[in-house]
Amino acid sequence: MNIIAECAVNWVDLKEAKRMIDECKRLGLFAAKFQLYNIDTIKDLKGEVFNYCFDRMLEKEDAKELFDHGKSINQEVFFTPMFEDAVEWCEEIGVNYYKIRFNDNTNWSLQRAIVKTMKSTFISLGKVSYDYIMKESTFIPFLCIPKYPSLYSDYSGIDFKRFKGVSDHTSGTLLLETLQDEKYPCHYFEKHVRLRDGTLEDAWSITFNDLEAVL
Amino acid sequence: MRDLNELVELIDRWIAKFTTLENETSDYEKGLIFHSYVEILEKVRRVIK
Repeated sequence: MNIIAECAVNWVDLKEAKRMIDECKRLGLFAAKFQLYNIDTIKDLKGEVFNYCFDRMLEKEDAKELFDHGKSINQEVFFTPMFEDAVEWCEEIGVNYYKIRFNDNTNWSLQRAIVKTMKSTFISLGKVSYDYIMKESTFIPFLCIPKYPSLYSDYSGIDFKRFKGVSDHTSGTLLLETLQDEKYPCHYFEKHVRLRDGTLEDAWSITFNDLEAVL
Repeated sequence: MRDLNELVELIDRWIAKFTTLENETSDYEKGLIFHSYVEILEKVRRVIK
């Protein structure tokens, strides 16, 4: 199974973000992923959450620095662009993959911009929207339950064969351990990760050590 | 080859128009059509390659 480490905003500065990429390399993960948002994307967030995200808003140069760091140690790094200009940034940087978050799975203009790149694109879909994706497509459908955190029981009764991956927002590693079983055709597993406690996503992320324990 | 590239542009313009229309088509239906477009685009690009 290919693990995508969603590093999201779970870092203090670029130095720490690069350490997360190093950890991905150490664990042999498929990719480290970060988010590209702008002020419009986070304008509805309130108070401290807004400030937290604002402080971690990556500019193009930051994204390039992270991508180049990954490249220097042969670790795949890519991004979830949340606005169209970020797709242009990613193309200039030279990324190999994209991710479309759940909230943008009906954002057609953003998706159109990504489709033009012809790059493989992971897209978070809900339980019933899997038939959006056709067989011959650059889009790779992920099951996503947009609850933060979501519960293990939220995943019961789901036909995982309809998806090529899962974007997991549960608290621990139980879902990952379950889907590692050969009977599940789960090629990709996206998990929110952190280096230490005290991040915005403590409730639905795990540490790299937690992850290492189940790989 | 030029015709195929023009076809890609044409499909792209059509989907851009379609997805910005304020009509009664649901997001689900738009998604279905959008991803049909992605598949057609993929097939055309394979021919171009």
